[in-house]
Amino acid sequence: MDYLWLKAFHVTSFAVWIGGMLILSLAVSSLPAATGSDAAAPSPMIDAISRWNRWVTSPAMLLAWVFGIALAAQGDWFSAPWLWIKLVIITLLSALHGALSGRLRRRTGILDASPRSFLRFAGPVTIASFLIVTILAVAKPI
Amino acid sequence: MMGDATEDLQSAARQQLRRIRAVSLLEGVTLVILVFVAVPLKHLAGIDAATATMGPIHGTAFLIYIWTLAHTASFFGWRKGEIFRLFLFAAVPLGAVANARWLKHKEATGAFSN
Repeated sequence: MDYLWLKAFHVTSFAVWIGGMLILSLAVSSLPAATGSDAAAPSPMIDAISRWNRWVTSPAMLLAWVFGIALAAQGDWFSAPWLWIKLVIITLLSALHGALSGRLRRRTGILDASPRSFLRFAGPVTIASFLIVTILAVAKPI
Repeated sequence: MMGDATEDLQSAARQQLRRIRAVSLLEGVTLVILVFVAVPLKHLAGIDAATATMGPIHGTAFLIYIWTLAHTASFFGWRKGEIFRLFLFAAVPLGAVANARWLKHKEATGAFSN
C-alpha cells in the first residue's frame, strides 16, 4: 500500500483509539466500588461503552499497531530513536487500555482509591501520551 | 439477579484465563521462531527477510500479549509481582511454557485476588 495511504489509515485508527480511551477512562472512574468478586448492577450506559470498546476502540488500536508497524517498515524508520521512544509509549498506552478494559469488564470501580491507583489518572495520561507520540512522529526531534 | 451476575462473572473469568493462555502461547511461539529460526537464518545464511518478516509479527504478538495481560490482571485484581512475573517470562524464549503452567494453577486455585 502507498506510504501516504498507510499514514492516513494509521492516523485515523490512532485518533479513534485515543477517543475511545478517553470515554473508557470516564466510564471506569464512574463505576461503583468493588465488593468481593460480585459484579455490579447492570447499567445501559456502561454496556454501550463496553460494546463500543469491544467493536470500535479495540479494533482501532489493533489497526493503529498494524498500520504503524507497516509504516515503520516501509519508511525504514526502525533505526530512528524517536520511533523506539514512541514504541515504548504505545506499549504502555496499550497496557493502560487493557487495564481499563479489564476493569470495565469486571463492572466494578477502582479498588484502591489511594493516589497509587494509576487508573484514576488514565484520562490525563492518555492525553499526555497522545501529545508526546504526535510530537515524536510529526516533528521527529531525535 | 446478583446470582446471575456472579455466574456471568465466573464464566467471563474462565474465558479470560483461556484467552491469556492462548495469547501467551502465540507470543511464545513467535519469539521462539524469531530467536531460533529467523535470527540464525539472518546471521548464518544471510537471509535478511527472515527477521524482517518475523520481527513485526512477533512485535504485534507481543503487543497483543501486553494488552491481554493488562486486561486480565485488571479484571482479576492481580498483584504487581504476579503481573511482573508474567511479563518477565514472556520476554524469555520458552518462558511461555512456565507462564501457561502458572495460569493453569491460577485457574485451579481461583484467579480473583479481591
